[in-house]
Amino acid sequence: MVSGRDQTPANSGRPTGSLRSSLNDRRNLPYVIFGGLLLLSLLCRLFLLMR
Amino acid sequence: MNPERPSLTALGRCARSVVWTVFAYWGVIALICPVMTIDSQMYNLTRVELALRDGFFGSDYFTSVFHIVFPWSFDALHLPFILLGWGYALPSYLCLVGTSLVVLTMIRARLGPDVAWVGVLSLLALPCLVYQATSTKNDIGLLFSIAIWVYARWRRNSESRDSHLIWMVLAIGFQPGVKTTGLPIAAGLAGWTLWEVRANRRLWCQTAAGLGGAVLLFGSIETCLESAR
Repeated sequence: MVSGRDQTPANSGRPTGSLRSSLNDRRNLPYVIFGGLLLLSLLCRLFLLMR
Repeated sequence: MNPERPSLTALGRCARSVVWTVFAYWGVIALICPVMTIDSQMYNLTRVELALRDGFFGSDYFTSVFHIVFPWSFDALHLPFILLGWGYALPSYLCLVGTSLVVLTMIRARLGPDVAWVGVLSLLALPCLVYQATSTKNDIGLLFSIAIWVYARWRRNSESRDSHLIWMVLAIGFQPGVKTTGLPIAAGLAGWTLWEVRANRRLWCQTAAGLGGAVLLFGSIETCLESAR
């Protein structure tokens, strides 16, 4: 489970587990962009389908 | 500075500067220029505008089969930009940014920062890719979702954390909704993902359920229903 400090070599010493620390991790930026596009797509489709 | 990370040489710094400049240039273009691609005019943006006027199901405004049969999960997210009247190409541009970040991170970890920045610069030298990133065509959305799957798989293996499976599943779920050709790709990647987690039965069931849910949420099921009517 990801909580506390993940001591794997790729992420040593970096606090993980919270949304804030995940967003601050630059390696998660592709996920943030992709998640934003997914969320926007879902909201737009729901809006258009409810019309 | 991280002492373990090799520093950039002159080549790497030069490539990084050019990458930032080129990204800034195309970012401004994506922000202020209207898209001139015929596919955008025919259906990528038009179908959203027509669904906005008359609803999606049974809209009398739909005059082309392209307005109905193609999946629209990527097309639909242009709605705010249609309402704003600018920035139509920003979602595609973000897909290029995300794909470049994936390439940069993976190559940097394997071959060093110089090769990584030159690699991203090489991507920006591809006219077909930049054309996609400055229009509303959905191929780059498919490319980005495949890149996310590859990236999540790479991080899952390198960090030994199953949480990255969520992004693999979401990426697969989005692919059939982006483009029809995403369907066989999604099927292949779904099989690959399930094969990789076969040792853990509980994780396998969770992944399979997640794949079903992701396809239902993001796979543009409604265009299949409308096409069948």
